[in-house]
Amino acid sequence: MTAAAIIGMGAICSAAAGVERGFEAIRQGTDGLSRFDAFETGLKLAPLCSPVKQVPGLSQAPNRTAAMALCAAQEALAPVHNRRNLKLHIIVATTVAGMSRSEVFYRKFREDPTTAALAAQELGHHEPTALSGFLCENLGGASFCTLSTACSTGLHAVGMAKRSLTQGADLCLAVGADALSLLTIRGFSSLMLIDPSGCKPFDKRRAGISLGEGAAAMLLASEKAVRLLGVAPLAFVTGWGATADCHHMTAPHPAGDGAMRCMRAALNEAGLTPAKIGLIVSHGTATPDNDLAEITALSSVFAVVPPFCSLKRTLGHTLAASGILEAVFAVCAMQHGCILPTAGFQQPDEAIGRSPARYREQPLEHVLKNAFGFGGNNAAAVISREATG
Amino acid sequence: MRYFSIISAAAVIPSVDEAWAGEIPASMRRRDPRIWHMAHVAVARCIAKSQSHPASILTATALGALDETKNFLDGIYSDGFGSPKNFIASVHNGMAGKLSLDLKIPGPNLTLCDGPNSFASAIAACECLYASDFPVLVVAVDESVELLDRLSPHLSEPCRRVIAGSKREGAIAFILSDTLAGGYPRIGSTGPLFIGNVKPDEAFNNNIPNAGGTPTVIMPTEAGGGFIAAAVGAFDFIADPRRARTVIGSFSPSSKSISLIDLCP
Repeated sequence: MTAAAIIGMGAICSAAAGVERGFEAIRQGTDGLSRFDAFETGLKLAPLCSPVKQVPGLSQAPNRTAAMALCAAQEALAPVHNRRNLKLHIIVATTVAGMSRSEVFYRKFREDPTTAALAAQELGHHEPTALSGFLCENLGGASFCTLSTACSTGLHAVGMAKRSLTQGADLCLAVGADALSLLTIRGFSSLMLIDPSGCKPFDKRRAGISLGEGAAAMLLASEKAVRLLGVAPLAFVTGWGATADCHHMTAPHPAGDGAMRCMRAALNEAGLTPAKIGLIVSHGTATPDNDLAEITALSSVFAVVPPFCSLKRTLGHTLAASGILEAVFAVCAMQHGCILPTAGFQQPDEAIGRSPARYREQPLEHVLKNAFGFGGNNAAAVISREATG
Repeated sequence: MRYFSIISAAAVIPSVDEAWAGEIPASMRRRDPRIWHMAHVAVARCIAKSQSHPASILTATALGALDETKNFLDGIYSDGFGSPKNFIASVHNGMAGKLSLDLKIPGPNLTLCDGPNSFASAIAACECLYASDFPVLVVAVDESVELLDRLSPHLSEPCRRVIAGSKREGAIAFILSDTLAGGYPRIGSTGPLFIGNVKPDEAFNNNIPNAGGTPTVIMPTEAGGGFIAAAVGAFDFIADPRRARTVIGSFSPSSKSISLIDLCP
């Protein structure tokens, strides 16, 4: 079996802590954005973001990213009460890691160099790898790796978890997490990529992204582990694609070349023709270029483009978490048998020539998830009801 | 553990290599950060030696372009403006993206950030690639950051040792093949293993790969410290004509983990 069984999932996002509650917000097409006031951003107008209102366990965690990651991971591991001595390998996806804490420390340090004395406690979890160590410590992980490929990271973690099983691992937890930070809010703002009125994926009026924060986790198991643990798979990861655009550091290839090759690679690994895909949970960031390039790529891969959606207006763009967070909700769509709506979409764009789907009930056998990132970094994954790969 | 053939290796260690700066392409000199310069020159040297073009890239970096992050925050905290150039460069996978763009490497493009275990993590990640993704370019790169030097006295002793290590700055590039023919030296990795409160040396001894024979063992404390110590050790192994099987350990205090690189002649 080359497919990887998904036996547990967890999520925390602006809508809720917990997969089912988060999915309900998505199914209803909830607008998850609000004026950001958690800290001073220095921008004239507070941006519309999707912050997590209450992060469980925040006071016991080294930082916000770690608290959200642990929350999602614990939910994903909950179905397995006894691991039967199977070693847990953890693949962690993050871009900011402990930045939300580091940047506050650095500001104080600039103003008062004597605060350097606090460096050990304030910067101890700055590094991305510290998040992996924290998760291993709290979850009984045996080994790990830490990925950071910007907005595609979370989906790459899912793909690498799948491949780790084919290389002999039995139990692999993919986790993606990123907290909102001044660095990312001001960074995307400096690139003029944030839409002041909130993101509107695939809409004619779209003018950029809205940032969010959150975490998600998927517990993948080998065939042997599924048998040993006596659990029923929720779905299967059947294909993963990973490519580079080789075009521009921040802009997508205009013809969606890298994205197209990536989707084809994922479909190829899953052993599927494009016609088998019932839903595409797009990257759909709502920047003018990204949405157009993604649709162009979809049109190249699919003779008939299946229903597609973007979840960014409900969840915000959660960066390294986005790929896996939206993949978790793609599994939910498959379980509930429904096409997901795209909050924020109203006016079709003639340049795109296609509109995202409206909510409707429909059985799904295979879903494609895309995630693209800085540096022309592309990820795609196929999730299937059965282990077809 | 799976092994890969090392078909080419090259390094830029600024402390012992004054020539490297002359090899930075003019198009990168003013615009791109120094850490990207080091990676680019090491990779260009590596590809020139190998005569083969990589299909994918795995970058190993503990902190990425941390200086660019600092510069971006300095801009916000001083005059309220953060430079988009600094922000783009601050992203951990910026280097891998730039390399794929400059060298037209269209396959998987992943960045592994596991502190001193980053190189071992990247080698282990090669196991997740398909045959069509080879040859793979693995680049270990980190830079010394003045801010960290200032803060270092206030960090924990193990972290201080890493930051102040003799192998804290440079770029080492390897091109790996998934076939084990051709008489090339081989490399394999455990990837990071979580050890919690077990002493690193003890955990290290318990995990030395049983690949036949008695290897020369370089413990983390002997590797010289620094984020790139394991990669430098692997490069030194390649450069040594009398090489014998060597196992190089690394330890990350931030994640309480060790890793082992196994090098076979």
